[in-house]
Amino acid sequence: MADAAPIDGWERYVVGMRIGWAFAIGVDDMTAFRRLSGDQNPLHTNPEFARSKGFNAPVVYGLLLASQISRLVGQELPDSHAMLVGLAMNFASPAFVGNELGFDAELVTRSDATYSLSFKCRVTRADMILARGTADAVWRP
Amino acid sequence: MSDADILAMIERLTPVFRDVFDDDAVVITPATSADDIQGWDSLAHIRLVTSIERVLDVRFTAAEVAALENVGDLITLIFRKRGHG
Repeated sequence: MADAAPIDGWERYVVGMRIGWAFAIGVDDMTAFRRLSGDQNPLHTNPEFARSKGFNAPVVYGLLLASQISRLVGQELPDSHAMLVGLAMNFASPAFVGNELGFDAELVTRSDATYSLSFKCRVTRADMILARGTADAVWRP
Repeated sequence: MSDADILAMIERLTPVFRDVFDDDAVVITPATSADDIQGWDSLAHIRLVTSIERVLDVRFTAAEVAALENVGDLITLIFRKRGHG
């Protein structure tokens, strides 16, 4: 059986490639996500309540951290042909509004059979890892 | 590739299918195709192929995957890739 010719552009996805950027979550982002998601839990809105749970300030919604996976697949890859098909994220430590955060991803698997990609992702603050996850995408030029 | 080889491979593939389709009742045979398993759509197919590549440490090409019609074809391909065809 003859192999299919590789599709132009696929070669730009190299296992081990790393992508990263800095970002922060602002008050407006929290408000917009609260409205969008319907999650009104005071852990994310009320400083006193957050302190009662052992945090110094309201905790950034975890899915706002995970939102950077959307940017990864939709915006930061070598082209616009990838589509997110799965993600998983574990949250180890909280982020707070205004923190200087970092997102970085590494391409760990590239399947030539299915033109699919798997990334390991992290959200960091300084040297601390706040969240780890994986993102899966398919590439359809 | 003997009948015992095929049965052994089905035993290895069954948990992969059950994980991908999130259904512990999935039973596969060499004749099983996408028509036989609910939810075997294009995205599930991608998850299935990539899971098999990872679990069995084999790599397929797009042409090889496109030519598969049932689990029997898949098993034949796996054995050929491993040099036991």
